[in-house]
Amino acid sequence: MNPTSDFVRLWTRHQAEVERYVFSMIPRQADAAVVLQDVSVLLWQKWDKFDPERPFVPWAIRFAYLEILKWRQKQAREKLVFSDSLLEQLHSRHEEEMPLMEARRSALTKCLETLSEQQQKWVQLRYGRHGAVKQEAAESGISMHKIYYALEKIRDQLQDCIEQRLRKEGWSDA
Amino acid sequence: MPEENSKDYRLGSLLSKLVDETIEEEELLKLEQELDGNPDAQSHYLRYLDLHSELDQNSGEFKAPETSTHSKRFPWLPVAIASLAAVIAITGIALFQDIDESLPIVQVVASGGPVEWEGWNGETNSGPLSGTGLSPGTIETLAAESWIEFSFPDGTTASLSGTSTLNISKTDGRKVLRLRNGNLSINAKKQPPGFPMQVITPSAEAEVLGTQFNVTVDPFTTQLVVNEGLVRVTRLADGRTEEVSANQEVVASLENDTGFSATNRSGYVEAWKSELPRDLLQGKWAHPSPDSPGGGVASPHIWKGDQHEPSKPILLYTVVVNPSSGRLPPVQITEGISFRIRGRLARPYPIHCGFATNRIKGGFGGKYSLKQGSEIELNKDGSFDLEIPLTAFTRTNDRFPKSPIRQEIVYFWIQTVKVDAGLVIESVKLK
Repeated sequence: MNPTSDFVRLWTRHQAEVERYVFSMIPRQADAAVVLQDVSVLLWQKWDKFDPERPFVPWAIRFAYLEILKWRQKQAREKLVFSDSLLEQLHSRHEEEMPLMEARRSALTKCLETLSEQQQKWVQLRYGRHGAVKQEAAESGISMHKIYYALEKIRDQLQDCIEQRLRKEGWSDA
Repeated sequence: MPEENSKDYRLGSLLSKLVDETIEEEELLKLEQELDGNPDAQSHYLRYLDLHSELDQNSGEFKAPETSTHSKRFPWLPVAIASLAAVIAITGIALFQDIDESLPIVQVVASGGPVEWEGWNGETNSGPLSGTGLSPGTIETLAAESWIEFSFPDGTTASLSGTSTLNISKTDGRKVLRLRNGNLSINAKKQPPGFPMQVITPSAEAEVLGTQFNVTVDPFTTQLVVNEGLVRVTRLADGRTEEVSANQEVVASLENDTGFSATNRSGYVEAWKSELPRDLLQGKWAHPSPDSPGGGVASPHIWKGDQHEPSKPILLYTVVVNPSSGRLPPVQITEGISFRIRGRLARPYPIHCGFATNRIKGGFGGKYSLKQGSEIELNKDGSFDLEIPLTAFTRTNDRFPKSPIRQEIVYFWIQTVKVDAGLVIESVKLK
């Protein structure tokens, strides 16, 4: 097999997973984008060390964590970043949470269906198109603050729903 | 529903603000405190962010997650990677060569307050720096009470203080210092012929053969005061050059229609009263209103402890005033003086203050502060009028002269610790 096409195939398949991890450690989209780009370059550089018998995502996340620490050091003076110590704790916690993540995402699909029509509208506005919340606020006269508060409640509701569904399915850690 | 602009520190609320990118610095600090050492909160955090990412990547639509999910945020990435990989595979070009910039070029003599260094090789250091060698990179002194003194192998020394940013490097045998903002004091040994030391700021460039001088930079102007020797200064706005000799100063602005000539430095004065907002170095200017006079509103910054005593991050709310700004006569500290501070607080809370000095006709002198916060009696309207004698201030480091008397005051800071008590400074008077 061609190593380049192998890499691109695996990266394309699992990029979203790595992206979710990077975003959980650097919860700002613009910064996460920069780091994700660096991660992808680093993974390609290290590709000859990858053991195809082992899973790609944990391998990629290990390097992503190193890139995050490197980025964190460069941003030492920046106030809106987590400390090294907290990043380390979150990274360890992420390893423990990973096995449950896929089950949670499946549960989310069901839980989204339990939202009211109005709640579904807020979710689609927030996540469907960039700037739609602002536009809706301007057109409807509802303040951005109220829309964001509604979204906060929706996410809480979805979280509760996911926990309940996982418990029903027998996941003890949910 | 919480009132608009009110602070809501519940974990759910903080997480919601985080993913909607409406979180403020203070709230992020609260979130970090909430997560630190709390596995349950960390799990909740990771699940919450994963939920958000999942919704984001699927555009909030109600469909099962794909097993092969493409990033909505960065859809170009696989293509970019494929292209990059192809280029590397075809050409074999080493795009990622490391450049060795790890050799130290200066050694830190001493430092205090939060100071950080980031090398061009990607290394960083915010721990105790005294005695360490620093390779080319950027030094930042992060707070009013920060300072660092470092030396080159030839004995040339430099001190950076206040909130300042400096790049240090060596190019073609020349020492090159780029001061982006703040206060730099240099005591340069005689430089080798043909290899003058260069000090570059956003508005000026100075060539130094061997001299003592101080540079202060803000985004628009550079003030350079020469105490010994000769410095050749070029104003970047128009390329004009001026030679500045001992006891002279020059101010270079980014606008070329302002004056640019070396003048003899004014004699020292012993009394000074702030004129705000002109002398406001840190803090936000609040215009006067029918109810209150104008003043500098304390701005927050995070303090992660002194380098030798790192602590959990706390917030400081600080106003800094600058008695020696621009072409004002320098202010000398004399025996028996006191600082009179007028301002207001939203509620009773101790304030801390201190000041930085330069030696008379010399470089960085030291920093002096109150040992404890000063309790204040507020008037009914929240205003206060506080007088603090010079004797209440002590040096912040044993390297500094015990007494600041007969030194020049460079700037003065007033702050509240941990709590935003609504500190506003209306005036500071030295008499």
